[in-house]
Amino acid sequence: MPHADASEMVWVPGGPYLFHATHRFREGGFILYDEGPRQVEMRGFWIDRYEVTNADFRRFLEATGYRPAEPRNFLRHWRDGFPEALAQHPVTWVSLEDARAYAAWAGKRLPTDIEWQWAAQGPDGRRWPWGMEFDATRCNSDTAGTTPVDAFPGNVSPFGVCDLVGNVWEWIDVVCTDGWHRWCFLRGGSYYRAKGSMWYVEGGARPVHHHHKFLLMYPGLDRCATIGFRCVRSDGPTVQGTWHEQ
Amino acid sequence: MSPTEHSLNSTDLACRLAVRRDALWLDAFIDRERGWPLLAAPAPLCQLAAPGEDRGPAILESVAANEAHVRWPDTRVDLHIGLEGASLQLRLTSHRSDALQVWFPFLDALRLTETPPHWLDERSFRDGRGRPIFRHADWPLPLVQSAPEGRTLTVLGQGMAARDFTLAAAIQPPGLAVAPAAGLQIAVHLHDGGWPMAFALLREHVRSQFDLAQYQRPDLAWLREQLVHHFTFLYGREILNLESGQFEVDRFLDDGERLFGGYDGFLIWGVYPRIGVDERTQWEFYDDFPGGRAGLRQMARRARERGVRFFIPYKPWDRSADVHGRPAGLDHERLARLAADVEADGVFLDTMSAISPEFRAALDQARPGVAFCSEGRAKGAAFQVITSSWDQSPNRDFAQGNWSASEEAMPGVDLWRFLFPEHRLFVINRHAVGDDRIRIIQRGFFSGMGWVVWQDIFGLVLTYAPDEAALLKKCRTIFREHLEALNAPAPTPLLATLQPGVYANEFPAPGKRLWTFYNENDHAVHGPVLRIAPRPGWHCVDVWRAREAPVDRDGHLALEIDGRGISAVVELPRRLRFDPRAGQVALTEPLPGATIQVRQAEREWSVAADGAPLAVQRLRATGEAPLLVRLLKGDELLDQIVIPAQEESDAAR
Repeated sequence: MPHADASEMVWVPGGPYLFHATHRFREGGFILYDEGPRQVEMRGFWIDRYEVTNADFRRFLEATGYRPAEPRNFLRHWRDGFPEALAQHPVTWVSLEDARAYAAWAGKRLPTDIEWQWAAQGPDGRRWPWGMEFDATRCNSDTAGTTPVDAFPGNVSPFGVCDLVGNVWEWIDVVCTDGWHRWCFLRGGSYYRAKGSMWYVEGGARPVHHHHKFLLMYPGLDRCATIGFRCVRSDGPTVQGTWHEQ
Repeated sequence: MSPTEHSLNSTDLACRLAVRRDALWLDAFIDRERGWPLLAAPAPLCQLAAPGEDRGPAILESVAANEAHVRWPDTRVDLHIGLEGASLQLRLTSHRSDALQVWFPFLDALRLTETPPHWLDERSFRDGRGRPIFRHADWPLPLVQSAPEGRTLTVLGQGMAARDFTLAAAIQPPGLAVAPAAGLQIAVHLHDGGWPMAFALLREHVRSQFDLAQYQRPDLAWLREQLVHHFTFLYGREILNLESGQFEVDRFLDDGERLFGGYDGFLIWGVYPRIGVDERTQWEFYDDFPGGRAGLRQMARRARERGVRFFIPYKPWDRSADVHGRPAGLDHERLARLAADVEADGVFLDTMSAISPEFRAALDQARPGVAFCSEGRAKGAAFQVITSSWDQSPNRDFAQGNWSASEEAMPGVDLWRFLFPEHRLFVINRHAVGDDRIRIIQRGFFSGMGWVVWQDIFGLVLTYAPDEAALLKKCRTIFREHLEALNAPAPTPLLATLQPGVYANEFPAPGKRLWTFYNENDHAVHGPVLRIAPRPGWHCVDVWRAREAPVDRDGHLALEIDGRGISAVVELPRRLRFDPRAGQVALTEPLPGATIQVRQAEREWSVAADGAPLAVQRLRATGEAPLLVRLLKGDELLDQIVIPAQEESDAAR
């Protein structure tokens, strides 16, 4: 292990997986487009039990002196110094590039869309990490801010992965392009739920099969108060079958 | 004891009224100037039907030499009758607590000639499939009867539902509905000039109900030169460099020139669909876009240097900060601040069709000259504040999978466009592609509107096909060369044409007249399409096909229009003269500041119109193709002639 980041990892075993994801098409009709269902064979991999915390990210900065090429809004919540009260909260105001840099330092990488969902859902098709029904007491959803990554012990998947839904969205390292745009997907939803209009991005904790299509512009805008990440590690590809990540 | 008969006179009209128990009759109605009886026979002026009641006797009271008052006390209805100049005015008031039906049989007896008249009414303006052509017909269309020499009777109605005011409903039971404690008005005008003047009366009548001061502001006048707007989705490559994450306004505008002939304005769009992922308000986005507010200000300045205006959106629905108890300040102040910071030219009112007055005041204070454009059709009081809006009326619900624009777009004519030419409309149907998009582009041209180019619908890419882009470029180019006519204050929609399925609109200006055409037939039409009154010393140019449009001695304008195609003709004073014997083109009079543009095949070049005759031989690149010689001042086309290759070679011999 090149660097000892503090985050504990969980072994996600392989197995047959009927993958099925949805996202909201954000024009007037709110049409849900299905991704899949596709039958694939997962291979086992390691995933961080929790999101990367502010404290973790500080260790990364201290070790590497990392400075993003485009600094706007980088760790915006650290402007007045490291927020000790948020040390065990997920790090936010980081771009996909910042998250990748962290993962590389830690000898890991960011999860793909299907890895994240398999880690959260397991084989039984559940909608939430803990089961079929939403339970507001199990996660940080529709509140005023982030919480420590271990604040909701009940927010745990069949493989023991924690805090997957609510609290913060998580970066997924699948960048797509149609030649006109670049986008990636976000997973899990966040603490924040915009209110007052149907035109906002869907808020609060999101079911494990939901991914949000997130059009990228540039890091200054793409860093958000509600987006963090966790890392994975594997030996080679984790998906067998006809599935191809884009 | 009230009289049973009464005569009214004005300078132009005379009439005689008679009360016969419960009925009010018009026994005579005379055009005094011509001594012509306008009534074929005495007829009831007005009849009433109230549910389950005897109307009771009518009581006639003289008010003045040109005014009378009739009451039906039992029915609780009053009618004021007045003659003013060449108009007969009827003002009916119901004091009832229930509905009333009323009709005016005398209208059916009105005659300008011996023969039974042909009336135009709402039912006359139908397309080939019987659908109403006028869209947004929020006022009753006039009932119009014209004599061949132009003498015209125009009946304007007010107080009834617009679509209800047809000749049939106006003259016979069940008639027109009058709401409880309401009224309606009928005015019969005698005038010259046929349908264009009849429409002008409607225009005058409607406009008198509006305060149009905002439209007269010099600092907003630039809006009337705007033809093509671009909806600029900031996450897309049209303006965003996907590699660097920076905006590239020059490349974006260059592409617009190449594809569409240029944009006149563009609307930056980046708050939606991102907003809501975190707490940032719409205002904070402008700090976080590449370069922040200063970067956008640079973008706006660069665009203006290139003659392109810069619009920002306002989203009234962004209320989450308030709901979460952290008020973001007053929107009109935030918007005014943003407009000043980025030096915007316009504000686009997303999802809105109205705006409260403090927005106009705040913008005027922060940055004068900022125009509004609303997504919804501004109407009523909002129309007085919002001086441009989108025409997306044929926009169907995408989610229903039922959004064919071609069904609705043509030959649909927006009534407001012709009543308020100073309000610029921009046609858009964001999901229209293929034939639908062609119809949308045609719609903008036929009715003299602007367009929105929107290719990137929040990430869904619907690019313009080359033929669609070329069509829009052609339309914009023609309008740029005829802005004077496009902005003419008194255009006339839907002239009577000489071919079935051919529609024409007229845009008359002092220096030129423009007609736009649409042929709804699947087949092309050739030959006379419109009868015009040619002006001496002027000639007609088919600007769609860049050639002369022949007009015969009876004023029949001949044209060729493709099946389901559009066209345009401009009548211009003759300023360019070709002398075949001398092989020269000369100006009839010097025109300082003008240029002569010569086109042959794909080539084009310009010379100053300094008054010296131009030798055609020296203008040619080759002797093969005809020469198109155009006289321009700025972008405005002042004259255009075609010199056939044959004539020139004759001259050379």
